[in-house]
Amino acid sequence: MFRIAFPESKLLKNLVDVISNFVDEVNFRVNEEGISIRAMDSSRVALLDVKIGREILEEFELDQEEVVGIDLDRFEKILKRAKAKNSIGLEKETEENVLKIIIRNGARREFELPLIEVAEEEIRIPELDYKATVEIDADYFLEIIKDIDIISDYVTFLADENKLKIFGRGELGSVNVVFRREEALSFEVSESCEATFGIEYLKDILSGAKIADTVRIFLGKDLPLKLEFVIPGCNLVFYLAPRIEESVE
Amino acid sequence: MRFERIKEIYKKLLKYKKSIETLTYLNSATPPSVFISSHNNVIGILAPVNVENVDICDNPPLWYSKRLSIEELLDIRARTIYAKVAKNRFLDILKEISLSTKPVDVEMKFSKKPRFLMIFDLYHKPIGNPTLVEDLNYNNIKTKKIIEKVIEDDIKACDAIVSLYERNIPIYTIQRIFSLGLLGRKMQRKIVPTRYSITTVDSIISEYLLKYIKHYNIIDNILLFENNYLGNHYYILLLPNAWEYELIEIIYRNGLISEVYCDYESYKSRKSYPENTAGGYYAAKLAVLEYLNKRKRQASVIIFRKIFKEESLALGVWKVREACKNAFNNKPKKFESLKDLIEFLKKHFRKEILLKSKILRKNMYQRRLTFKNF
Repeated sequence: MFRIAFPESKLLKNLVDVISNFVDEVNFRVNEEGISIRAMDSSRVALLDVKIGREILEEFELDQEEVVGIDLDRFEKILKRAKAKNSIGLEKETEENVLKIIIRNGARREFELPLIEVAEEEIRIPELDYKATVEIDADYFLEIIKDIDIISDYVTFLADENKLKIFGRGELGSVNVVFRREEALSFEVSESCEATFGIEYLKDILSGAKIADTVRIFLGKDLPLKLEFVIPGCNLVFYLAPRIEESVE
Repeated sequence: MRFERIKEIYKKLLKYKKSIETLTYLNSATPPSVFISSHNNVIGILAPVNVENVDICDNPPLWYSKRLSIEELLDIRARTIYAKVAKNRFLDILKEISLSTKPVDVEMKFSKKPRFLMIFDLYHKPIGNPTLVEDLNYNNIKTKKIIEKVIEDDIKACDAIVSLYERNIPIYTIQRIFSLGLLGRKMQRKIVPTRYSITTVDSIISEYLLKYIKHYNIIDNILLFENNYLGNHYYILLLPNAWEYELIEIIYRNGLISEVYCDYESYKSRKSYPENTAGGYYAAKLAVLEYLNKRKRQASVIIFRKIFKEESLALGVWKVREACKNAFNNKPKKFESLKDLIEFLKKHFRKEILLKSKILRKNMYQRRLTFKNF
């Protein structure tokens, strides 16, 4: 059994929007710490790791850990009925196989969403030896990806001791964005590194950037890109496998 | 198809002109077959001039199994009348006829003599010899219980389409019934032009099958199925990955590539219309999904369709459907690795064409996350 409530719908809506870009259905795990969700996209290129801390929830009542399988399409349809400032409650009884979704805006609107069985594989994320960590404003990040999207299908991140460069090249030209060491909110680069990623996946994460204050970008040699979106009371981490240089034969 | 060749065929068909243009009355049967134009929503019924041609006058599976050529197909359609009706008088009769799963005898009196001409379209079959019906008698309607039930039910069109499909009603029959506005919530039923009914039914059934397919295991090997029909060569590639789909059409004129069109959808399915490849996109997709569903497997799918303009003509989406569906009856080529596949493909396509494929590029250049519990 659990009874939880978000003071505003915005956070949950945005998170569900991001998650639904990667999977059709997912397990929400509710335990003493809050809610956690892990989702890998069907082609195993991107992974999302979301933790919502109980401290930002308006209400939190739980008797034992619960895992609820959710059809995200249906869930999103219900969430869309809530305005950004409406509070959203999620409730489940121990024996029942439905999730109650309560939208409050004066009246109490209660929806029932049948739960589904979602096959879950345990994905363990190893310690990765990143060589560069740069923190920038999340809004900048969002704009950069949108800039590059008009030119290229790929985004290259290059970090050296002085700067982080994010750029894209395509048939229609190129876009370059540079953050110098002193312009970044934090900057740690122990070794230069460069890697290229598919922009379609980065676009899918942008709803997360919208609710974040800042984003920490982690780069390493032959490692997936790691993006940590800093959102009050919430941890949204995104891993993305790199592309191999296209060889011209 | 070359203009000279079309002229040649037309000349041969001219032998039917006189007998058709003097028709004032027809005692024949319809398979049943109806056609609703997307220009003006005009509805008509199709019936062959000679009653012995009822089975073949509108029957893509039969056309394919006999591997009829363009010339043979046009010969059949040139002897089929498109009898347009006034909706206020005959719509209900046409609805009733369209429910039949067996040919329906029709006796028609025309208010105008048929015009000997043929209309071609990428979506629908060639429509020939339009005329106007003044009087229509019919006899011998046989339908199935499930069809009667579904048209009685006040359920959403997509649910109605799926339940007919689940009960093995042929897709061409479902399209016909849907186009006459016999399916859906009773308040919302309406006539749908043939062109749109084809894509709508394909896409609804595809979405239904995908819900299952996304839960199936991924195929074990890279497989390539091929087929060739009516100036089109199809290469259907199944890759061992989660569902996604891409159709790449390569148009050859005089042996040279003149245009390339692509449409793609990810695991999440597409929400917009595939503008570049249009109706063929859905028909080919459904053919693949039916195969995957039968095998209870999931795959990432790329179809390369070579269209040889000199040998090809706009005959309707059915030719893509039948060719793709039947490609799976041919023995597939198996590839041990992506490298072997690329080696093979390079022999049949230029590299620029292969690189148009999002899915192929992803397989060649996109790494995957390896952290899981293996």
